[in-house]
Amino acid sequence: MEMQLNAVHASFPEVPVAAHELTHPICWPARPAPAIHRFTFWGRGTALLGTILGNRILTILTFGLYYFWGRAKVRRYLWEQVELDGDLVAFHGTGGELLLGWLKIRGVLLPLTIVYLLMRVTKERDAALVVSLLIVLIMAVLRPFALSGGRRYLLSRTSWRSIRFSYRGSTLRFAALYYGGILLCLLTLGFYIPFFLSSTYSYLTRHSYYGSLRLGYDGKGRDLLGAYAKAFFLGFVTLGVSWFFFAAERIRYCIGHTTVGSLRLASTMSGGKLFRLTVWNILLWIVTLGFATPWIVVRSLRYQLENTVLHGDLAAALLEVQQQKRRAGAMADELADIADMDLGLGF
Amino acid sequence: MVIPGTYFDGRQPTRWTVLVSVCDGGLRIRKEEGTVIDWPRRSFVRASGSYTDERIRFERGDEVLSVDDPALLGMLGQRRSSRRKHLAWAAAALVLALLTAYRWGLPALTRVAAARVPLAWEESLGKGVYEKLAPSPKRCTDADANAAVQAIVEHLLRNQPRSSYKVRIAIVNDPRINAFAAPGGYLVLFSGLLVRTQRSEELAGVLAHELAHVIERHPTQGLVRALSTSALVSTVAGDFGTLSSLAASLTTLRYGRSDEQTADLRGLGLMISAGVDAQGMIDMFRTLSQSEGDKMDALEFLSSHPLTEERITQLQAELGRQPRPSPEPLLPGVDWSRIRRACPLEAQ
Repeated sequence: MEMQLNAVHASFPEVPVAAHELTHPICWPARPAPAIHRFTFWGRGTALLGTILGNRILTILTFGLYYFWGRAKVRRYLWEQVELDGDLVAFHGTGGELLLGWLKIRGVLLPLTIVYLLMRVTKERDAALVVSLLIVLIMAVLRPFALSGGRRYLLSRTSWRSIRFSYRGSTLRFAALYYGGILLCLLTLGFYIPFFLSSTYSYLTRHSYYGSLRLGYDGKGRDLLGAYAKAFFLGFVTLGVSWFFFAAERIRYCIGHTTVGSLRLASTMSGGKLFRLTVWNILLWIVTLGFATPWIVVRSLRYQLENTVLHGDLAAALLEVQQQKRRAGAMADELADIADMDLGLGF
Repeated sequence: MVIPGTYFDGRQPTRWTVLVSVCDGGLRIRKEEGTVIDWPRRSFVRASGSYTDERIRFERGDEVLSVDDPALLGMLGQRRSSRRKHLAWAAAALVLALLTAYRWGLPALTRVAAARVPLAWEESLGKGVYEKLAPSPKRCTDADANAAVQAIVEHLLRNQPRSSYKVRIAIVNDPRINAFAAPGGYLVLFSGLLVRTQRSEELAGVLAHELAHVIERHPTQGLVRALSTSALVSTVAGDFGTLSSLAASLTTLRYGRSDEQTADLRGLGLMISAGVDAQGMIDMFRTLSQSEGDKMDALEFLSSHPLTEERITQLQAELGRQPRPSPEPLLPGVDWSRIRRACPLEAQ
């Protein structure tokens, strides 16, 4: 025992340590901070396929129960392939909490489903139609709840360098913003859409935190109006391809106006590449009868992440960050899953 | 032995370069400036690194220790595996489970479920199939042909105990050589088959075969089997999309070899007890299997009714065994050469 401890002591290299580094233990060893930090995505389609197939098998063998653990496993695989400044993102979500969230949602939807089935059986066609429309409406209405609540869950389970992210927005306020925006979009025949996209992105971003560090957004919806109008009118000539350029423009704009303390994000996505990626993904999906799904997911995430950079002095920005965790349940995340919504990586 | 790693204290995102050693099943983490953090045995978990392509990460509460060298796992007496190996095990378990389900589970389920399908369901199911494959505009409207076919069906069933099914038959204007039974006693006959019959007894052979399927409830069993197979396939393939529907459609409504043999023998029995010349069935099967020139057309019937020489031989032998009263003429006074050409081969 003693011998072993001595061995540990003996093998430690003697490094001269400056006095201020002991009082201020910053990144060790201290190195010059580069101005640009890139995200790397290490995910591989084969590994993801393996995970998905393994999940499918276990889901069958457990009569469906493993589904939730499988979902958490896929998330964990994807999250933990993201690297920034030499450290990987970590994901802490579990299957158990997903199952709990799912049970809560089923508790809400079950009475409606029973009513619907009863009406089908008693051949009350019109009434059944009304109830099924009601279910569809609920799913649509719950979209902002899923977006905001899902984000709360995902960020609370995501960490980097042991510090958790969090989302502290009010889901009710976000829903009000969302529905108000939808209403304005309808009233303005769609020309409020750029403002809507910017304001919802703004709300979700400005209420997100890395530890104690709040994210910021200084974009304006009107800056996107020109690009939107261009895409709208060119959409008829280009058979919709111009929308890919608008999507890329929007992502570049929104990400570029996002700040993390003294750091600023930037995106180098381009409409042409986004279009090519989408076309290739669709072709891959068709040719392989859907079996290429893992590669499609990986390709898309890689494109998204490797075109995102962080400008600024990272070490200095992180100096004041403290751990600040927030509690969150998985109900909204399961709602998003039932409604077949993709919340992406959530940040 | 010490291993380099990275440590985060869970309070601040500060990156500490550390050296890690294993001490009594626990981890001893030494920062470069000398501070030692002890993680006793069982106070920490391995959060990542079960697979060989993952970075190893230990967590104690919010604290994180990240290590690249797998030697640390060896020192802790932990192992990790490749994804491939895990997948191989899972796949083997699945194949075993699926084979069990397919070999024993499905047939048992089909037997039990098909016997419990209410008659009304069968009728409405069969009606759906019937309306789809024999829609009114495609049906043959020739009154004589329809009457003759109806008469043959009634003749074949005249000495049978009353079946719970009401047998309905439609002739469809279609060049393909085919006839089939849908659940609930619905029969469909293609004019392409009708035109190839030399005499009414030959058509009676085909209809007897299909009626035997109905009496034995093969269509319902087939449907239940197809449903449960597609349920099985879609659980496996799931969101791998179109593959599941493709695989499911391949198994839809195709009778097994034993079902065909049962229908042959039962059909032959129907003909004999109805006093119809049972040689008609054998003649018709021979015509179908030997229609060299019409191979492409014959394919249709053969694919759903694998018509082998073996089955014909078996029928011949069975016919020889049965005591045969001298057959009565099936449809006296009917000019079959007109009937068989009464329905057009193309839909009008």
